[in-house]
Amino acid sequence: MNVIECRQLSKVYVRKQALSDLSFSIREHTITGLIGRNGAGKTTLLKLIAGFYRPTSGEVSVFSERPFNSLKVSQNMIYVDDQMALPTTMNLQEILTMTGRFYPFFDRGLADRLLDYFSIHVRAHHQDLSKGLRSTFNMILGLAARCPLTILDEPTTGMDVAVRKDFYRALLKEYLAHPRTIIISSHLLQELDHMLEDVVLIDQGKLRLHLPIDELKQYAVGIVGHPEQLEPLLAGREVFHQDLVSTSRSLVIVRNDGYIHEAAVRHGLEIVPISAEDICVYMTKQTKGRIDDVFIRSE
Amino acid sequence: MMYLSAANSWAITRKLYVYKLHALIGTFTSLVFVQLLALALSLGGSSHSSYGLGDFSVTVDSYSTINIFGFTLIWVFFTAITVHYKSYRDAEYSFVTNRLTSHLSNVAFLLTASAVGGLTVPLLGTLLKLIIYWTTPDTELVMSHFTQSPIELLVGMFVTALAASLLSSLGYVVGTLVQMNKLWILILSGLFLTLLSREHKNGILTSMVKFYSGETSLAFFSLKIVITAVILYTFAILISYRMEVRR
Repeated sequence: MNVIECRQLSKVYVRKQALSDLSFSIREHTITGLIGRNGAGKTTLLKLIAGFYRPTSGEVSVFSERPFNSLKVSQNMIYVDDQMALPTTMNLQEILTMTGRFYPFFDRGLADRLLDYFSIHVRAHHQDLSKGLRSTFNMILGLAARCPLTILDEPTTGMDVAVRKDFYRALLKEYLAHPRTIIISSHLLQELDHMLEDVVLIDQGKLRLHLPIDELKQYAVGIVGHPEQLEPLLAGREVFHQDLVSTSRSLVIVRNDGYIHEAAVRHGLEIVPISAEDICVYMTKQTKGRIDDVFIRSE
Repeated sequence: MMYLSAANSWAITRKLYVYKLHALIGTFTSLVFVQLLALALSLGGSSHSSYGLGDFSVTVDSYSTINIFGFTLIWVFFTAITVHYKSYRDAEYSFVTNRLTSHLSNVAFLLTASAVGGLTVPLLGTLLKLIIYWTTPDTELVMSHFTQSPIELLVGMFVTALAASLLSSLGYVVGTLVQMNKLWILILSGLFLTLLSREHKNGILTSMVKFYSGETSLAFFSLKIVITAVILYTFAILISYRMEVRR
């Protein structure tokens, strides 16, 4: 069963086309990573799914309902980001009590144990927490609410490495114990690729890929060799990136069509694995030239 | 297997109402300050006149609760704008809401605030009289309006609460417009100041106030206010129905 369906979904702001023509669906009980560069449209997409924004054209449906202004979607969905607005007049304990009143599956015991583990004082106020602790608290709310759809928009902003690791572990344990549909957006795929099932990659408001993570890891390979040796191999193949590693050797990132390994070995070329994160980076490259080029003039 | 929970607008509205009573508790603190200020101003008396007649002289001091009444109405007007502040309205979207339940719980909160205002103004009026009674022992107090029957007190509370709910609905429309576009602050205050500067005996503002205050029948007074408030609140809900959540 699909929890989320987008059909030709577009969102235009006053001066900017934020999303154009997105069509994809997300199955029930999956963890999907929404990956994209800064400004790719991740947050816009998530807010359309959450029902905060209205689509300019196209359609989005969540639990077979249009999410905008839908109480059913609001009650079965929680949206967590580092700007989560929470009442300033209440301390964290009161906020948890209030959250429990609204979300029927909320697990207060879990929230209390997580707060205790991360040493967050229940009498503190949300606005007085440091950036990292605020993100940690928001994440605790998001996990303990046990919503059938849990949206985490860059949830680890400001968290240190240790907390991030704990967070991913807690998320995975919660998911296994109480399966739900989770979307987690990030530009750091490396950190989460061990827990994701699917990846949605968007770039400049357009859908680039929607694949199981295992397929994404096999999606492209790197081949190193002399440019002249490489040339016959590249004919008819999709090349994502090409770069000189030394004066006589080039690195080429190319779509893995299943025959590329064999062909490379036949030509005596070296194959290097490319991580899922690097594949995403090469597929969404929008900078001109290389960062090194910026410094050439001043040298 | 995770099941979806059914959403019930009334149940959510009730929960949001309780949330808003918590989150907006500070507005009642400001009511206390506003009313104490008005009380202090009222103690100065609203008019003062002296007459001399041979060896006698008479000084007449009039006191009125109009300050307390007016300040309370201004308070409820600004409270209705306050519920639109970003910090209050975005937090409810971290919980469960949609535009309709958000509005309905706001209206319930503002009617509560109007009721609190309505209850307190006549009581403060009584307090004002007691203070004058205690502090001016050698003075003859004109008793015609000094004592009130419980019925009169209740009617006073009812009328004040109605007037407050009218102002709350007006403030709510203003707040909704301003939330949608800040330009409304300029437009509305410009409009108000223009009307005020051109105001004369039968001006628009005066006749608007008279439409309500001139009503001598309690039933018609109530009816006029209820109808106006319902229209204004509905207008606010309709114009913002398609508004997005920006946070």
